Amino acid sequence: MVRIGLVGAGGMAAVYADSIAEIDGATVAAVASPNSAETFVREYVPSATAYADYERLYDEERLDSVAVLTPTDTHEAVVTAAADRGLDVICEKPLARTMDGAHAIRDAVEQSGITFMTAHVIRFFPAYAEAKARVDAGDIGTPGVARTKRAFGFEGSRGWFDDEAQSGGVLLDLAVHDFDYLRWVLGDVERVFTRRTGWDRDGSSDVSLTVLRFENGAVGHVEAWWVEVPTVPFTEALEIAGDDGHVEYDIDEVQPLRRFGTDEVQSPRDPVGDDLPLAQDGYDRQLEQFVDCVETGAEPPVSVDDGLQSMRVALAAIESAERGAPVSPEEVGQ
Amino acid sequence: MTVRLGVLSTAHQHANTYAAVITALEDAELVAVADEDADRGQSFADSHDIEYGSVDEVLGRIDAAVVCAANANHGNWVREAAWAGVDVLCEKPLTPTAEEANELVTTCKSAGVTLGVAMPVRFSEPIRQAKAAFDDGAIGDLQAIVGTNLLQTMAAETWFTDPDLSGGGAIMDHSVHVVDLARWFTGQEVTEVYTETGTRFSDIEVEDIDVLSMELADGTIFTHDGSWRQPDEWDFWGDVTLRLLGTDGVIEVDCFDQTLTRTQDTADDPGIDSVYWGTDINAGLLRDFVSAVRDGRSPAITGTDGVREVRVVEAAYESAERDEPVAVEYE
Repeated sequence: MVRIGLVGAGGMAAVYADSIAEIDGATVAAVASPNSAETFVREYVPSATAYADYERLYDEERLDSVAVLTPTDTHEAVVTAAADRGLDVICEKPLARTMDGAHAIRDAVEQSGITFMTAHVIRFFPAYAEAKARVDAGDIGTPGVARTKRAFGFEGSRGWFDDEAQSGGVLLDLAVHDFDYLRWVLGDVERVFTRRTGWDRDGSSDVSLTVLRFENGAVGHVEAWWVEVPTVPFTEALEIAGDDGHVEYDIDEVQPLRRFGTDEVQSPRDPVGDDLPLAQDGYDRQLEQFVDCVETGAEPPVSVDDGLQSMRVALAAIESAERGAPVSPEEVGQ
Repeated sequence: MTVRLGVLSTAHQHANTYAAVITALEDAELVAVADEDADRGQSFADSHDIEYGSVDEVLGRIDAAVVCAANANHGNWVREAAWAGVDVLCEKPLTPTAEEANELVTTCKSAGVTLGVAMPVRFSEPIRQAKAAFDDGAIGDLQAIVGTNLLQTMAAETWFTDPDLSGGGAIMDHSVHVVDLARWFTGQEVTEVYTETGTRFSDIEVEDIDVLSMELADGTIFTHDGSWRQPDEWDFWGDVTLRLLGTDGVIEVDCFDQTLTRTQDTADDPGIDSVYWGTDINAGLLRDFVSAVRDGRSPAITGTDGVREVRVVEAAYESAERDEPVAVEYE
């Protein structure tokens, strides 16, 4: 039985708890969060122990691994403390808030030899995984242009996500999903050019449009935004055009199940949730892979370096938007 | 009064589209065609049951002309029409260079003829409803625009891929429609362009990737993808989409989403495709032009619009050359 400690008790912790509950060989042993661990445990994993402090959780629980689900700027401290104790880690994306933080995590992982996986869950979303498989199989020839979209509306405060210093805003927190996915499909990024705009409470509505040039000559366009317009649903879309074909996916076109009733019933579409009509959703697949790697010692499919490289593209995009010039990921650090 | 129309050059396939639309208009009549290729012109005349003639013969018989030449030849035909006192609707882009486009505007103005540019997307009903909602303040203050105007990959053996005749590839051909929409919605000019481009889809002499990142004078951010990149087997010729993000809402338009899904087992070209059944945008364009000619007013999209849009295209090429954002120069 792989015993997992959750560090963080926010929205992602609930998603992880749901997914881990579906894995036969894994269990959530404990949850740490400064304020809400006990409430979270009562609601989602009554068998787990609640801690206010993650280092106490590390020291007092018998654990195999931890899932780091805390605000981005805390990843460095939470991950390095786990690595120091030899605990395997799955860490939410983005890897860290700064390149220094990412380097510290990479060094700790390498020195401790722990199993580490960056949770770039889009790679495990079935539509995205299938699109990558189609490209790799040569179905569309050589890719030339790829476009992605990831966006949602919200209402009121989103807590630490609103704080650029903690989350890095929409480019580091949301666009990083698609930067990682496109790196996985198309290879390394040569340069990015980003335009960005924001408004509302100190820019909590955050809109970014990034044009990418890949080292193989392909061109990308990553649209990522969150806006304080509550009626806008979560949307994601992907299009890859090659010289011999084309694949496209748009969540708005996918309606395998619709329900209408007396109460307000939405058709399930949000991948963060457990009601998609899939035997295994992306989070289930991601955690199953991680648990498998913890058990067997196999190399996880998304490495610490993948996390670092994808995050570097996002930081280059942030810098491009500030400077009004194209920026190479190399310019923001190795 | 019935407005007598002629077609000047049929190099662009839209000549056939426009001819069919004009034939169906009640207050217009398609009279004659001139062409730099006599065989092509004669065959066009035969299929639309009109006269083929020399440029002078044709201009002598019509009130207004539609120029469907290759981009580099637009100027010659527009000048001929202007000198003959004939109003002109010119296929887009107005010309490959802003300098020549500007000169055409001056020539038409001093000749006292109307010059319009064929931007039919402004007459898309989904676009018009979006514009009305936008003007009503439905999305608050505009912050960002995302457009696409994709096309299937381009065959090598057309004038579109001959830089001497086209002036360029996808950037020249497929940037101006969405740039025109952005200008029309906002009343703002594009002030800066950054370009990523290349030739990755067809073995052609011009670029087939057209990915632009722009800014409008009021700071609105704006990207556009006008690449010639959809496969031959795609279900439609391409698309025009526009997404407007504002402080209070979002408007999304897919101009050609009103389609039937058609599957044919035994046709010449079997397979599955989409058949558009929405309102004919070209009818709107030509109705506006014909009524402008009759009433002596400017058409919805003027030569000046054409010049400004060509300036954006020129800046886009300059950005591709310099690998950096380029300011768009207006006079």
